[in-house]
Amino acid sequence: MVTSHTTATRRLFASELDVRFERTLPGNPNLAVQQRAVAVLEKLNRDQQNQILHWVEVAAQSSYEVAMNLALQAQFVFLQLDSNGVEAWALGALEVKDREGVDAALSFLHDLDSFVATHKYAEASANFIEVEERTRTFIQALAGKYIDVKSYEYAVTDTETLFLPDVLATLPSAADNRRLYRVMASLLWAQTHYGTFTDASNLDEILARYPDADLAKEWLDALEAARLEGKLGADFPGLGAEIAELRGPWPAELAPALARLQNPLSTLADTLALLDELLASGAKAPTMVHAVSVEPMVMRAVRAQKDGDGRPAFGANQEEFEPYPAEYDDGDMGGLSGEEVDLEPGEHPAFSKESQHAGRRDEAGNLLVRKKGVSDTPPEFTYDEWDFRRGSYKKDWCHLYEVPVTPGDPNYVDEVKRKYRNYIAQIRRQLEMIKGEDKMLARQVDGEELDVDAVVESFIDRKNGGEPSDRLFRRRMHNDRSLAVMFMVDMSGSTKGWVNNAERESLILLCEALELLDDRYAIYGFSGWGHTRCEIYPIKRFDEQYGNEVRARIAGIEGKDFTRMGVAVRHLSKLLEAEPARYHLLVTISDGYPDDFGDEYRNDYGIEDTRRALQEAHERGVRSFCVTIDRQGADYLPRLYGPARYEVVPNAHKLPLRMAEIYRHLTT
Amino acid sequence: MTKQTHITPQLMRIDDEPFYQPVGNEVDMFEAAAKSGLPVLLKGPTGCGKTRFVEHMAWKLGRPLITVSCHDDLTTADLIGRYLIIGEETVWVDGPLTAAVRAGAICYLDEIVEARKDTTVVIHPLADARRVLNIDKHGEQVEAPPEFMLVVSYNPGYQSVLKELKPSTRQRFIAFDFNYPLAPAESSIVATEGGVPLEIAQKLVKLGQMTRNLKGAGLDEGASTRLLIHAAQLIAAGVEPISACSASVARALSDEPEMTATLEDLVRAVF
Repeated sequence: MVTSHTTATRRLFASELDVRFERTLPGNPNLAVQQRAVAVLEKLNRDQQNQILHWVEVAAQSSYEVAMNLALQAQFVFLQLDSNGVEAWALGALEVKDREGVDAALSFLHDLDSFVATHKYAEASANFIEVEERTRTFIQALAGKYIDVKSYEYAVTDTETLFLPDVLATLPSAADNRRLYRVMASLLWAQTHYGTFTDASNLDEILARYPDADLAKEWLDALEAARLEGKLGADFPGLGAEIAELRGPWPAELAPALARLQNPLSTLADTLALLDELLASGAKAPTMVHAVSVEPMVMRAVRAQKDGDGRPAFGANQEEFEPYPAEYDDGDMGGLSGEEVDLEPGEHPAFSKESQHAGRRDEAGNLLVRKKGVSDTPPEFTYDEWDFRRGSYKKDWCHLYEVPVTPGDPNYVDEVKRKYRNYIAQIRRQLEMIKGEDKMLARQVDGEELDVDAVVESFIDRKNGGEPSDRLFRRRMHNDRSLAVMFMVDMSGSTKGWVNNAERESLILLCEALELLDDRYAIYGFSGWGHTRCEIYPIKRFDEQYGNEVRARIAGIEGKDFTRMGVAVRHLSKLLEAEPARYHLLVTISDGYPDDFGDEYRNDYGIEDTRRALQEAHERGVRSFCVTIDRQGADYLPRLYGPARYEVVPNAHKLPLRMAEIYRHLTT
Repeated sequence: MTKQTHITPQLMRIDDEPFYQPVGNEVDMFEAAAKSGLPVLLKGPTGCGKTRFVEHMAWKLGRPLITVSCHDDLTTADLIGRYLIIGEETVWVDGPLTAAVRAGAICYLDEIVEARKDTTVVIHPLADARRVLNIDKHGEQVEAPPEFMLVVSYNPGYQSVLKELKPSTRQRFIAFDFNYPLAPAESSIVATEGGVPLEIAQKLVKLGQMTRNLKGAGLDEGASTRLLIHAAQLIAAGVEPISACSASVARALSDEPEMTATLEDLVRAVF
């Protein structure tokens, strides 16, 4: 709510509004539009005027058109929404603009009815972010596999991700709106599980055959909602009851169809038969609070991409991507798009990888020249690389350089420590427990208490004429874990943004906590550009203290180039092995897929090489644990990580809190 | 040399058949291993029926069973035995392993990875063709009778690098993989053991499977068959199902409020 600047109650007159607009939108290019906006705002009361002016001001910072349309719509919004609702509406427009651009934002602003329908009870609204994690976990438990949950304008699924609205304010209580999220997510999952998409491959065509395809689609949504509720209810009675409770009584229009739809044997064919009948009767489709959209088109698009190489989205992109030869001898970059592609936080990793390539294309000319200059410095290290097609190693294929990290903002670490103050205290307490697990050493010459076993034995020895031992005490000994840990951090371009931030925060939390233990640890980043320039960035070497220099280097960790994982594993496990300790643990933190410039390291090759490298380390006694921050399905991970254990952290936000936990589990 | 006395504990036999529902050919395999004098390693998550299986087999083969729960303070003496002083006399008391060898019993070392590595080594000569136990303390070598059988178990799901079975140990055993039984079998186990109607047991098993889907995604382990049986027992004792599952499953699996809340959502979805 923005009412802080409501000191006066008198509404602003047109001339005053003009001044405000000119101040907000200097050099206003369209006076006619401004006049209309002023005319609209003039009729509002002062609070309403202030609220709209505030949002116009905010919107104007990114789009003039969005700002003006927001003002023009003001005449309608206050008729249907309270001030909380208006705020949600304005915020919604800005989010749509950020996500999908100006046109989408404008249609959002003008389609007030759909917004009002879902924001009836703005003061009781539930936000997607509040329920995101819980919904994702719930669906994973239901589905038995990872299905992502993301926010979108409305509820729909492409079978790999369930999309849910940013805000739900359909029901009068916030708790019910939160439950509604779970209900809608379950119904979307049910579409993927009970044959909505698989029982008819040509749902699009079927819908297109009806004269009023829109009406047919609305009926399809309603009929499938009823059918799938029956299916869910049969398998999960409690969930079925919850859906029924939240949706309220069925609309009268659906009543005749219910018996058939909720028959235990019903299939999509029943829905389609009923669709025919109902459309023939000309009935109007009912609207329901929990309705989710059935969208064959979205589904078809995903399936088409999947057919590419069996891997979602990735394959389709790959076909568009014209690979450079692995050697890239010539710098001919002709015909490439010059558009910079920025990575959005949390963006689909498959797309991130793609945009990473795309991003290279515009600057590649320069970068390639720089990167090509590798031959003037001989490699510091060379490593073999596994070529699964040949079934043998490529000798000295990877040239590895240790490159210093440019120190980052020294205040960064303090900020993170402040942010996680409570959590650091908590994880320290937990690690102190490990540390506290001291060992009692038996048969010592000196100690806190008698070792009864030893005393008895010495007594027996004396009786038997042997020489009694003088080691008769038990002593509490600090537990020597004799553990050396190497953290290998992905610094590829795809980590730019939230993943990179999560990595840095995780490392700070880990270091703050690990300082308590005597475990020897090191941190290295890795990235690179082709097999002749693989780079390793020392952040903390084993013999370095966690001091200001290390802190500055952690702050300086940034997304660089590509992810050639095998060579990094080989180099770092070699460093790790050289540490005198009984146990050697390699922990990798990456955002999924190994990938390198050009086509060579992508897909199977990179996966096989990475696994091979982990296998080599395993055979030499290095245990590996791989943490993947990946919002995409993780079906390739067992193959990628082979002998190593792994965990998927689906949400980068969760990484810092999860890492310390993982470490504790790994080492106790 | 003073006179030495031995004390060997009396071993109990299992008289009543412990309930065990086979899920594969494990019963036949175990019998074959027993006949051939081969030691057995049972791998599997916690609460999936490893211990119950061993009890059942001991009953079936008519042999005494000695179970040792391993922990990191378990010493060789704790397994083999030690001298005690009674009056003026020193008395040797057999440890559980020695007692089992002498009696031709089944010795079951539960969660063997928890034991210290130097302790584990004493079983090596028992677990190969020699089948002998060396008692260094008084220079005795106990030869295992054909009935003696060594069974060890561990949970490979533990992530700790500090807890792995040494290859020299594990390569002496024939290994059985245990897992949670398939839904129909598990439902009938939960119904029988928990004393609830099959319909309730099926719901509990569905809940169990959903929590197992979250292994590695916030949970270290899903609900074991044992936990589901606990829930069933509470229900059989008159507790309302949602509260029973909330106490015996949701709160038993996680301390994290968000995860516990999600687990309770799952409980409500099933009932």
